[in-house]
Amino acid sequence: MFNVVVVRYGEIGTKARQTRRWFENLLMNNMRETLVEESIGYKKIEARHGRILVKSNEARKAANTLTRVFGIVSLSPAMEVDAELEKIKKTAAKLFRRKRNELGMERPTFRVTARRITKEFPLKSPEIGARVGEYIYENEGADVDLHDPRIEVGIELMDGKAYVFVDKIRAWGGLPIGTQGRIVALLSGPHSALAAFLMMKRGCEVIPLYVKRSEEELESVRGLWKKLKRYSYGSKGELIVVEGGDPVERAQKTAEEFAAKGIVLGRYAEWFTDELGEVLMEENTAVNVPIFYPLLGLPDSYMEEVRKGAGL
Amino acid sequence: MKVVALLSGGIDSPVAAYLLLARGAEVIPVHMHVGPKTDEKVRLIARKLAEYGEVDEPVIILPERRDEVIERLRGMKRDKYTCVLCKFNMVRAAEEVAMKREARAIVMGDSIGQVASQTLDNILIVSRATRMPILRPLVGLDKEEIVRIAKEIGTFELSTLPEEECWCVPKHPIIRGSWGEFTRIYKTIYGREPNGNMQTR
Repeated sequence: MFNVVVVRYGEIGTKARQTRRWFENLLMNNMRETLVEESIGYKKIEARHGRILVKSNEARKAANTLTRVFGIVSLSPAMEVDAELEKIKKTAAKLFRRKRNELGMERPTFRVTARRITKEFPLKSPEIGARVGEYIYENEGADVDLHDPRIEVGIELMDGKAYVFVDKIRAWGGLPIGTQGRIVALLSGPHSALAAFLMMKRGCEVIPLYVKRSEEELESVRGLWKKLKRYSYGSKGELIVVEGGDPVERAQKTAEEFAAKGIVLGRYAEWFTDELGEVLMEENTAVNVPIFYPLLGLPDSYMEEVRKGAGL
Repeated sequence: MKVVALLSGGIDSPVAAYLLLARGAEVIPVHMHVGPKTDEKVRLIARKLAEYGEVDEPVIILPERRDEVIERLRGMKRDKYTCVLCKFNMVRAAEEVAMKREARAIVMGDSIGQVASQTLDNILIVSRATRMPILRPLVGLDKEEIVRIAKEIGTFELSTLPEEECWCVPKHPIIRGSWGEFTRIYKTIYGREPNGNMQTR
């Protein structure tokens, strides 16, 4: 039924044209790798007018999987039809019915939001919305609620096509992995995985390093990296395991080997005590790349939300 | 634990300082002077932050020979390094305050990739100004997440008050600064290594 995913991205849109092109290409590459690795079929991925379109017969599955690609803000599995009012109306009504059944509601309220991304369609956006809304109202017997509808029918028009959808799936935002260079992540427990995740979200390619302390811990670190890897298709990182030694020193060495520009640690503290201060001072004396502590200072509620959402 | 927080007058740095305050850190704000309005803003922000914990009066640093340094950068056609060099000097200044006041870390509002000066490459250069730990609690957050917190804690409306724009900002700031080139520029201007007294670096 859905034959395309409309992908929206955020911060990339605001950069200079050249940088933006480069960002888009990295993003599309990471999306491609993700679909290939997860064995989801697609026909084409293309950047168009500040959106990315993924043509796929498994559009819904593709959309759910692509939520893990950083840089994406939201996705909608959509139906692409020719930009003709009759076709748009019928498609919108069909998707509305489907969503209504999915919700199991008799008379869900709805609204239609249309946007012309390119302006060749003769009607203006509000008018398209009104016409399609009228059609659904008359044929499906549902009430319009412009402020807080249960179902929102979206229509985006560009290049002679209309993209009709009823779901907008939120993704992580952030920046595409590969836009910021490499950093070494010292993995051990769940906090370290969360820290690495946050750096990946901001576009860093993470080189995972484990300084071995025990077989059991190695197993759990492998498990953590396996989860993280699902967010980092497009980068090559394989877990590096080294035997013993001071973790930060080993990380520093690994950073040199891979020309990485930083180290990320999962250090967490409920309170900034003097003892913590001493530990941090000590930790920073022997490094020549910055150490990042993305969890130091983050509110617990935020960390918990990310941990849950990421399945870490 | 005492920390020195670099406050620019912008939206991000107060949020970074707040997050540490909320976990019991004692904050000494340090601001590099741009103009009187911005100084006043920073004082207002510091007062707001003091509602959440222990915050000292901001230390306002006067930049050293700013006009001359900018002239030399322009003369070398390396003014795209202006912001990186300025930030490097700010961290140096913050370190000096930290040493004097026995603070254990420097807090910055960097979030990777948000603006030109906040790429990993540039953060790497700036970090080499000190051996002290630099804490960047916003590093994993997106701009909208930062703005949301700023609004919640009431610093957003202060950060968006009018301020003097820094006239030194070049048209095309360097995005991927290199340490080697930075070192050469620094040596030409100041006649010494950027990390002169730090042998390990």
